[in-house]
Amino acid sequence: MKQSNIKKVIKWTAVSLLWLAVWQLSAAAVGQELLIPYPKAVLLTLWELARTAEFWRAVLFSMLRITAGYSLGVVIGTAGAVLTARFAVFKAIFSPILHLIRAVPVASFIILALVWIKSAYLAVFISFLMVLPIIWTTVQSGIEGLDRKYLEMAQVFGLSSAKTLFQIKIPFILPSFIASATSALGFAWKSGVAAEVICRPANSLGKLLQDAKLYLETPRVFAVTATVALLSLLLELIIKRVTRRFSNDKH
Amino acid sequence: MISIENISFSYGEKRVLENLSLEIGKGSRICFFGESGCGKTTLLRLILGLEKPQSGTIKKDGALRSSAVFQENRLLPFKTVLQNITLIGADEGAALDRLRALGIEAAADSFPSDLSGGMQRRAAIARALCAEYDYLVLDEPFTGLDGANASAAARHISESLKERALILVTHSRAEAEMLGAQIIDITEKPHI
Repeated sequence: MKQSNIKKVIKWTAVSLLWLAVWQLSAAAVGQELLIPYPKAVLLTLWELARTAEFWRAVLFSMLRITAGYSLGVVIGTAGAVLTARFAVFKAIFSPILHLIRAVPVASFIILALVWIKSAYLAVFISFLMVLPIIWTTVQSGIEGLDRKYLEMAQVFGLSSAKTLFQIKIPFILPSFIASATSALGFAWKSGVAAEVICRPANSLGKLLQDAKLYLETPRVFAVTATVALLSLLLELIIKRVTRRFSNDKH
Repeated sequence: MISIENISFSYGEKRVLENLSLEIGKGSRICFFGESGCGKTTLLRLILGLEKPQSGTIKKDGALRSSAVFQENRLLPFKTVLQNITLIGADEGAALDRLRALGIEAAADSFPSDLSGGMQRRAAIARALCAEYDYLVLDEPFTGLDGANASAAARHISESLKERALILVTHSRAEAEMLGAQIIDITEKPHI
């Protein structure tokens, strides 16, 4: 392992231990597991959960729902951005909708969507809705911000449209696209699990969370929350790893 | 090869070109001369097809291929010098030969931001010379180059041109002479 990596691991471990100590001390100070459980109790609960099929089914289906909504948001958001950056009329039509989606609280959408959509698919829709404007506006401003000088260069040297797209336009837009796609993933998880908490579909982390809250099982609430955070981080790492080979830092 | 007939161009109220006409023949070397803001770069952009004349016409014989060194280098920041050159269709060997001739072969695998202004300029010249073109447009091509490097680059451009046309913009009569270009003061009329 490189020395810089060893330093990183030591730093990360030290910071984690510091916050674990803060948690432990807070739990000891409060002295009520209902309010703040000890880290050990949460870990034990997580271990117990991990030994049940119900937990893994919830992980799998929540991940499927949220990833589906996220993927739809990325694909439709990107396509929409290309359209609105190219045609002013589409920009005029879609801009108010995107502003509206950003401004309306996610809880309002969840409650509204409950009327229209089966609870099993609600998380898909809500994750999609939260990801859509993030990707759309970032890609759109990336396209609009493209330096025309490079496009003129391509024109003068007679580069084909495909070459201009893949060798000039996309590499210029890619860094901001990757940054927004990564941050949108966090939003997808937060909003998707929030939707599951409210509509409680079978086989979902949101339902596990809500049930734990109903039965005042605080360690379980902490354990499921930690699972959601870990899954979100894991997928974020995967996205970063996959996109790193397409990205470049020479901008 | 390129016929410019009575073209005019304005930026808002400011007219920079008025009823300008001239012929650029195959193998000709011309240099547009005139004070700053008189429309030299605009004329280059019109010839390259990056702007449309507001009146008049620019006729080209067939589909002429262009190449250019712009006022700015316009090297893609996320590609190495070599990648910037091969992007326009040049093969790697030819690109390296050009870089060697311009004294920057060692910079082939560097990114533009890692190079000095003069080296970036020579990379932009190398790219322009590696293109397949019928006419070469140079807008202040030796900006940032010292005397010796500018002379060497001018010699190399001159040798590479062969029977192809050169259209140059510069503030320096010496540069025009180095490239053997006929000076045309675009603020004078007529230009035929």
